[in-house]
This record gives sequence, structure tokens and C-alpha cells, in this order.
Amino acid sequence: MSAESPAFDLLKIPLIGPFFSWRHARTFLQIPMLIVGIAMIAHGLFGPALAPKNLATTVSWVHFRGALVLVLLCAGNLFCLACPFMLVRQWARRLFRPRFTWPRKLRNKWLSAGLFALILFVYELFDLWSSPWWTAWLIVAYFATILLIDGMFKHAVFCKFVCPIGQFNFVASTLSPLEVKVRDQGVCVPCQTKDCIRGRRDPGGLVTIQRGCELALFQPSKVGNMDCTFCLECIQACPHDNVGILSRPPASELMTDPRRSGIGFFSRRTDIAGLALVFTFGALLNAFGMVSPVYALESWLGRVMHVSHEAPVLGLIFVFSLIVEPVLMLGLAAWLTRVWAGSRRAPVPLIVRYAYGLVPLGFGMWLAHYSFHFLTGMLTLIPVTQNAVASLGRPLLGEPLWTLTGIPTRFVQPLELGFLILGLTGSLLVTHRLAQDEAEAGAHPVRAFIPWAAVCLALWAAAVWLILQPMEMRATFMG
Amino acid sequence: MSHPGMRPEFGEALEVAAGRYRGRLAFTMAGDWVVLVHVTLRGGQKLERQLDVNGVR
Repeated sequence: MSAESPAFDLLKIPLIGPFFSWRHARTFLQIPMLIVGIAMIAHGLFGPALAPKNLATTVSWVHFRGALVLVLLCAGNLFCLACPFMLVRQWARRLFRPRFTWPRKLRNKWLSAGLFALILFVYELFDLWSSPWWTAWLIVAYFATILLIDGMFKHAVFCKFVCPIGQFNFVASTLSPLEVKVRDQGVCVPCQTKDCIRGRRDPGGLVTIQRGCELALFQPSKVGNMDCTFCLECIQACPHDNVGILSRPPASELMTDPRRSGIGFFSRRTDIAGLALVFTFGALLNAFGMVSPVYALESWLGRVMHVSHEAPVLGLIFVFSLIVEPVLMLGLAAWLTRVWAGSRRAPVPLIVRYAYGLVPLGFGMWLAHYSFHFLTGMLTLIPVTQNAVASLGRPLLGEPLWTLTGIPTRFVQPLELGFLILGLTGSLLVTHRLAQDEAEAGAHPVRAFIPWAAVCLALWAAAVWLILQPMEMRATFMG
Repeated sequence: MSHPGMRPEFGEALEVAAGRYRGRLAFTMAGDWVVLVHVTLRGGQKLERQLDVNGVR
């Protein structure tokens, strides 16, 4: 190993390492997830209509989201690794071979960023958290869309260009401590076969016996976790056993701008910057939908707009929060960076570059929000599962223990604040580093940093205000 | 409407007159609540009825 190799490699850990190196590790993780997914669909469609009693809503909106962000924080994009949708897609591809290539105009993140925003909108408009029926259909629609897209188009088009959950994971995993990475760059230099991206075929060249990276990430020049689903195909494919799951400083990939395999330069990817902004401002917006002031705002807007339906009011809130507000805040910061700090960069490249600096803050907000639901309601999975089993005819797991909930709110709220402080610290560190690089564009680094730090502090203050608001919660009353 | 994962509140209703029951329940936060009434009849038969209490402030 070279001197610059990190000390920690997950694949070197006893038991865990051999498991992740195992050829069928992904399938082994996907099968239980698929079974849970099928149970959620069945219970959502045929089980109780009350959300707190249904597996579809409880697992989707309490456990899945909470576990997702905590695993991203502590490890990496392991949920994409265990994605059950991909298992079904693999089975389907044995029957249907995709023939088309994804249109060039859609090879970016705009569609997926739009779908991400659309899911947030639909979640609020149709109160998905309270509807097992619609939650189940959302899961069914997800399966159907994957089968349709990946049944028609080659490679992992759905993961890379469509999947909103995947995009969330890609952006959040830039803060993760683990990365699928080459152990020693020197080993890759003489490599002629490049199996990590090409895969391997049988001697006749007709049958793929080992896939390479379907998301077009060439390991030797791959940087960070963006677009990496942790599928581990490259680990299996490398004939030199030179790919590991290595530790790295979280957010480090946001601070630099090298050319990245399968991505290019972050500073030239307006679409990924747009996705990062939807991720960050969407975190605040999604939390805003859970607190009392949103109802007062919706009511006031409804009166001003003379409408009684929620859709146009909610649409206006979304347009303001995801487009107008970021443009105004980041536009002002970019203008100050040019006028006050003396940067020669144009406003849009400045906004694109610094948009990545807001990702830690956004992730802090997602963590605070989703971990709240997860930690305060983690034990509800037990009575809901007991109830689901009992509904089959016999209470094999006992009568539902509805008193089981989770950690009391008063203990979770300090943790929420901690996540927000962590996010702010990360964003300040990243924007500070980006401002240092601003000197190359003729700017004063400290003056370049101040406007972006002010944006971070303003968003952080909004996030703290949000989590301190009384929640307009939808709960259960049982007697 | 109700959000999954939130802490349920429990209360017991006692008979105060023939066919009339009274109990106390605390709405511990604002929002839309669902009251589930579990009834055990004299013969042991169990019933569940749901009442929606929306817009608690």
C-alpha cells in the first residue's frame, strides 16, 4: 500500500470485510429488504387505514428515513447497496435486455432534482405520511418505473439520472466517512483490462460474468461518493483486489474540484449544484411543513390568492423556497463576493461553486428532522408488526404493545441541535476552504468567505427556529 | 390524519350513568388526532370505533 492510503479499510475488518467481499453480499442484503417492501405494499393496500397502525407508513416515514440518514452519517450509502428495487430489476433483465441508450439531453441531474422536489411536494399535498394506501402505491410506482426505465435503457440509468432517493443518498454521502476507493493508485497504472468499469466477459466475449461500474465511475479517477451506489461490483471486478471501502474525512470531496470520473468538475455541473440546493433548501421546507406556522402561512396565502385548494398555495411556497429564496440569497452573496471581495468569477459559477458548501447544513437539517421521528418512534415498529401478524389470523407475536414508542422528545431535541451545529460547522469549513481558493480569481479570501458564512448562519438560524417550533403533529389517541 | 411513530395517549372511560361513559384524555400537541375507542361488551365481544379530531391547537 502507498504511504497515502488511509489506515482504515472496512474490507480488512474480520467478519465484516469477508462479508462485503462476498460475491452475493448485495443480494443477501437486498432479499430481506424486498420482503419488507412486499409486506409494506400488502399492508398498505389491505391493512388498517390508520397510518400509525400500518407497516407501509410506519416503516416508510419513521424507520426507513431515520435509519437512512443515520447510516449515511456513520458509514456511507449502504441503502443503495441494499436497494430492493435493483434486485427486481436484475431479475427482470434476465427476461428483457435493454436496447436503448439514455437520451443525451437527460444525462444530468435536472430530471432527478425535479422529481426530488416533486416527491416533497406530493408528500405535503397528499399528506402521504397519513395514507398507507398512497404510500403503498408510491412504492409500487417506484418498482414499476424502475422496471420500465431500466428495462428499456442500458446501464444503471434509473440510479444515475432518475431515482430521487438515490440522488438524496448521493448528495448526503458526500458527508459520509466511508468511500469505495482504490487502495493503491500505483497498482492501477499498468492495468490494461480496466475491469472495474468494463467488467469481465467469458472468453467468447458474449456473456458478462462480472459487471463493471454501471454508473460510469472509473475507480482510479473516481473522487468521492457522488453517483456511487456502493454496489461493490468494482470490488468484485478488480483482478488485483485493489478496491476497498476506505475511510476519508467527511465533506472533503466538497472542498476540492478535481476532474471526477463519470461526473467531471463540480464547478461546471450546474445541475448537481441545483440538486445540492434542492437538497439543502428542501430540508428546511420539509421540516417547515411539520410546524404550526405553515398553517398560518397557508391560510393567509389562501386569503390573499382567493383560493381554497391547497395545491396553488403549496406550489407558491415551494417555488419561493426552492427557487426564489436560493436565487436571492446566493445571488446576493455572489454579488458581494464580486463587488466587495473582488472575485473575477461570474455570478453563476460563483453560485455553483458555493452551493456545495451548503450541503452539510442541509444534511444537518435532514438528520435533525428524520432522526427525531426515528428516535421518538423507533419502538412503534414492534406493535405495528405484532398487529400486522395478528391480522393474519393468529397473534403469533403477542398482542400489540401500543405503549411502546421511543426516546422521549426532551432527550432527542438536544441531539437535533447537535446535528444542526455539526451541519453549520461543516458548511463553514467547506465555504471557508472554497473562499481560500477564491484568491486564484483575484479575490480577498476573508471577504469572499463572509457573505457565504452569512448565508450559512441565516439558514442555520432558520433551522434552529424550525426545530424549536411547536410541532403541528399528527398523533394517535388511543383509549 | 395521523403521523406514524408518535406517542399515543391512553385513557380509560368509566360509566357515569346508564350507557354514558366519561374519561379524560390529554391532547399533548397540536395537530390532527384520531381517537380510537376500544369497547369490551358484557359477552366479551370487542369493538373498535374511530373518531377524527382535526385541527387541535
